[in-house]
Amino acid sequence: MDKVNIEQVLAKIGAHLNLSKETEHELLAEIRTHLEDAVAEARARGEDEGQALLRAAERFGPDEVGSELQDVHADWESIDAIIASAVPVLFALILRWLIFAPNGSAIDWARLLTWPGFWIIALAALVIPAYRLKRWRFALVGWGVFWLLTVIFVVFPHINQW
Amino acid sequence: MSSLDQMRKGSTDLLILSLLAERPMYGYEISQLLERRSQGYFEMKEGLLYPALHRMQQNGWLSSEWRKVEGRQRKYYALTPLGGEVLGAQVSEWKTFLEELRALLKANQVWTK
Repeated sequence: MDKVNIEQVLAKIGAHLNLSKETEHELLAEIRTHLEDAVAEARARGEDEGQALLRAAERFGPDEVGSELQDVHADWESIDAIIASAVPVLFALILRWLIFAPNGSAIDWARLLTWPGFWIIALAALVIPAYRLKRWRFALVGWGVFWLLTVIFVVFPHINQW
Repeated sequence: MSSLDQMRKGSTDLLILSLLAERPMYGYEISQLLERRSQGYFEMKEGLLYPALHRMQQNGWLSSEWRKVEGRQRKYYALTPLGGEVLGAQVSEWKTFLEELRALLKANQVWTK
C-alpha cells in the first residue's frame, strides 16, 4: 500500500515532466528518497504510514513541484543539447579544413587516418560531450552526419567541384 | 500568498546556501534542519526546495553527487566556490536591508525597541 501510494505521487509529478529520460529518472529518484525518509521518520514516531505519506505529498504539491522542476530543467536541457551538437561540428571543422586538409580537398583524406593527431581530436569530439553533457546523443548524431559527409566526398570526389 | 510567505520565498536561496556552507546535505536533511533550527518558523515546502536546489546547481552555486549512506542512495548537495561568493554577497545584502529597514521603522516611530 505504502509503495503504491509513493508511485502515485511520483506519477503525478512525472506527468508534468517532459525532459530526457536520465533527468526524469534522477529527479524522481531524489523525490522518492525524500518521501521514503518522511514516511520512515513518521513511522518511527508511531504515526500512521498512510497519513504520513499523504502529509508529505501535500507538502510537495505534486502539480506545483512537477511544473517548477520542468521549468528549471527545460531551458538547461536545450542549452545542453545545442552545446552537445556544436562540439562535433566544431571538431569536424578543425579536423577537415583547419588542421588536416589545408587545401580544402578530400584528396589526402586516406592519409589522415594514419595521423595520431587526427584520432585524438576525433575521439575528443566524442568523449567530451559524452562525459560532460547529458544530451550526448546529439553529439553522436552530429558526429555521424559529418562522417557521412566526409565519406560521400571521398567516394564521390567530383562533388567537390559543385 | 501573504507578505510573510513572500519574504520567506525571497530568502530561500540564502537559507539553503547558509546551511550548505556547513557541510554537504541532501534535500530532506535541509528541510528538516531548517525547520528545527528556526523552531518551525522557516518551514520550507518541498515544492519550493527542490526547484531551488536544481536552479542553484545550474547556476553553478551548488554541486551534487549521489552517495550510498546506510544502504540508501541519496543526492547530496555541496556549496561550490562560486556559491560561497554568492552566499557572502547575499548575507551582505540582507544585513544592509535589515539595518536600513530597522532604521527607517525607528525613524517612523513604529519600532519601539
